[in-house]
Amino acid sequence: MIEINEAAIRIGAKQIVTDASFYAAPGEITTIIGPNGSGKTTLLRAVSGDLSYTGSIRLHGRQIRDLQVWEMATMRAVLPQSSNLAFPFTVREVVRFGLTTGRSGIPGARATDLVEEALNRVDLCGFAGRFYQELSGGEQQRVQLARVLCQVWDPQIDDVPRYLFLDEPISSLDIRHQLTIMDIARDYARRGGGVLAVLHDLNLTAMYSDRVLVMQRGQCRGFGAPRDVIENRLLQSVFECNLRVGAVPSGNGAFVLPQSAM
Amino acid sequence: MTMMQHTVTADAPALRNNRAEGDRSHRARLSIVVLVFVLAGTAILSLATGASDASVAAVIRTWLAQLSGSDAELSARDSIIIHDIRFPRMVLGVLIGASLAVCGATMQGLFRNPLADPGIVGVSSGAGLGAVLMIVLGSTALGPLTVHLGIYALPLAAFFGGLVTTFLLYRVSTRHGRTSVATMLLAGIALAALAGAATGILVYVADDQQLRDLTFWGMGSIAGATWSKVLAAGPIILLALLAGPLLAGGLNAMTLGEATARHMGLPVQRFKATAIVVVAAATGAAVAVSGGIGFVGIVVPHLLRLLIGPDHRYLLPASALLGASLLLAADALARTIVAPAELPIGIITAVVGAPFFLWILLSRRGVLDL
Repeated sequence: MIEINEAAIRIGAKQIVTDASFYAAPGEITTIIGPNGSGKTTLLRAVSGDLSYTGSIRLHGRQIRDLQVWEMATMRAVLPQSSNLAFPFTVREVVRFGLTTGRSGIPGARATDLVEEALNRVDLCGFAGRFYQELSGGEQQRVQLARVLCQVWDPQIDDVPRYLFLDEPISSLDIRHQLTIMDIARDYARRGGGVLAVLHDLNLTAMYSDRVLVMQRGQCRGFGAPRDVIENRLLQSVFECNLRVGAVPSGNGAFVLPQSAM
Repeated sequence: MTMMQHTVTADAPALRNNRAEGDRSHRARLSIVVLVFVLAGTAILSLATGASDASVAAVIRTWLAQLSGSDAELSARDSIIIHDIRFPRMVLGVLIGASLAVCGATMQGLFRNPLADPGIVGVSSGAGLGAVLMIVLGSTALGPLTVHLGIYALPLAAFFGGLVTTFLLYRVSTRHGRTSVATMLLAGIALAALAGAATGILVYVADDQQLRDLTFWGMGSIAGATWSKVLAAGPIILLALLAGPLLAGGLNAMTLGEATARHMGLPVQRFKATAIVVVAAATGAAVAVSGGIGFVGIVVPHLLRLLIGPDHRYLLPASALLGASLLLAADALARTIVAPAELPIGIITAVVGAPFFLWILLSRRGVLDL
């Protein structure tokens, strides 16, 4: 269980998050939404252990600030927004980095197969021999997800749930792969792990999330099940535009919702 | 018929590669084995090369004879040339070459940039300043240090010079976990200039004997190798080389960026401090006994990355082996090309290395974020 209580985070002199309280339970996908600059990523970074905070952020009952980096690495893996590699590694080598730290929960003999399996999951079968730097942005993002999956492969270790932190995991993906990635997240949660994600797509958020945190200007504006939080008044006030939930556009312009693919 | 044979031999390795596509660890291990033999070869070449005609074959024959109980002896002259001149020179060459290449590879991993090298970003200049301080002031102001540290005074002084420079460099060029290449190279120029100015002042106050010492030292050479130099620099360099494998996993994680390295469980701050101390120690020790020998730390890791990939678990040991071999080869060239005189080895590494450095710049232009 991840519990955040009255957390406040400043970077330099600037207060980015003033007051955040919510939780991310195992077995659930918890999604943070909100306009640009509302503090979503900052909050996720603090939960990842990158930033200092006041208030309380606890993972399995322990303050994040008291956990060692290698302890954290066995309990959660973090997918960054984007990653540049300094040197020309192959896709297989990058994914294998996920196995060198943390605990995949997999015995050593299976470790090599795990790389293949992770690449299959993210629909990059046959990419193992390619150079990471020669891939497209979306492919790179999926390679990173495969690496992250390897780090915490089993959603639970010794009955203790583990977490995937995903910072805009689908930002540069086509629609099919957006669904692939969200399915991976849902599968991870169903098997007992926890997922904490920052998303911009409100439709996918509504489709996949068990719980949604809405942020605006560093504050929590709402937290609850998607149908309670994704509603006209809150969205209009937070995103400052005239959104209407469930409204079919008038006229005969084309529109496509990801829900139609299910 | 020949065509068919050709196809078969070409297909066999391709099939084998398919099993673990993108896995270069097999090739890396094979390369390391080959490099061990290359180093053994260049070591023998180094023992056999020189102005005198003392022959290694004769030496090996005598050793073998002594082993089997015979009391065969080398002539006194050959014995001195081989045992007290060429042998320490070969050992020192191996140590220095390995140290320069491993420091280059480690620093490039730490700064996440293939152009970072102790020689180029001013660390060697800082180490040099430490060494010059010790040479000039060792008998006066720093006298007590010389007394207590003995032969280790010079390498330790160079180590502290290198340490301060690396630390300053890192502080100046890295903000929020990102290293700016432009800032790093420019800061390197500034730090090298500062160290150069301080060195100049020291040269100004040096006496004649010290000036001679400085001149020979500064040319970058392993010509003056003695067993006492090997003893002075060897332990520090060996410690740094042994630390290499412990740094490899961390350097691999660092290529993904500092934040991701931390997420993977690397204590980044402590790791960076350790890596900086290792680089400064090995660079300092190398500079203290051989002066400035440039470009080995750039050329060797870059070639090896092309051959076996950038995985530091293999890159560091392979760099040590190839660095040692290259330095021995360059040294053999240095003492034959104008025989019976000798060129400073730094000239040879610069003649080969500087164009190579420019080639890296050209081939990465547009890719490199300068």
